[in-house]
Amino acid sequence: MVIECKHVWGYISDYLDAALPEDIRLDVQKHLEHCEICSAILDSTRNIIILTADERVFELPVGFSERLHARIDLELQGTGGGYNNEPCRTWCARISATTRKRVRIESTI
Amino acid sequence: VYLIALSFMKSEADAEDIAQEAFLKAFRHLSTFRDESKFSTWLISITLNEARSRLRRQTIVRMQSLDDPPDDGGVVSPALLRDWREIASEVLERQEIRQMLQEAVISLPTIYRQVFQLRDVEALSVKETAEALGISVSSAKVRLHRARMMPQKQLSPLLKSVNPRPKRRWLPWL
Repeated sequence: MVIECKHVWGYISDYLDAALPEDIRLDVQKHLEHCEICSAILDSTRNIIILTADERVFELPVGFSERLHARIDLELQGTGGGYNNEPCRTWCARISATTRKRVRIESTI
Repeated sequence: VYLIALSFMKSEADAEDIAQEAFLKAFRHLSTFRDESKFSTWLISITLNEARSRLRRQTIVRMQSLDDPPDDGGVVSPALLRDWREIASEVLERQEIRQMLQEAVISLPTIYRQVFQLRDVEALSVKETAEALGISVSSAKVRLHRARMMPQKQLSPLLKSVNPRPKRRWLPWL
């Protein structure tokens, strides 16, 4: 089926996430093969997503970790120990390891 | 955690405070964590609750909800580009480029910024994003699509000036 540019624009996000039904994906792909404007929009969308996902864009404020540790240490002093007697540093390292698992958006296309 | 808080609060100081509170709450209630969800999802939901409750206390919620466009609020057209050239990630070494991208995300309306931050910055799946925000997967997809289209009008001309086309050479034999 031939689809117009305005329809392709509506599919770009799902196309990048590989979330389109196969028949629509093929229609979109066919359109992209010959439409410069839609291809440029797809490329710029993907590019901007990749750039904003880069961890250099949104960095933690300077001293964030130190202030967080200090606050948790203060809490530990009040409660007389960490969860399961874990020291703050161990507990925080565990959380950091979990939360740092970032998966880059690598286009499937 | 900090970035999720920032997607709600905009102010870095408020975001840091919320992040600290979220870690402390997670720490205090670690015994209630069940393996039914990922630890990161649990921590994110604590952060979101903390941010929402902070916003309620600041009575910003009502004002923001009026400002936010509804999910079905019209079509968002992307910037019309003809010759987009890929911007290499090396440009992120430059502070002004990082600033430009931050501002583009932060200036998104709240409902779009949250989805963009969770899905594209924090790399949650669409389903996890929807769950964290308490919205349906289809709403999350609609918001995500708009959030991805919106920054392009603002960013495309700026990024293209960062990455100008090479000057065309006159090649008489072509």
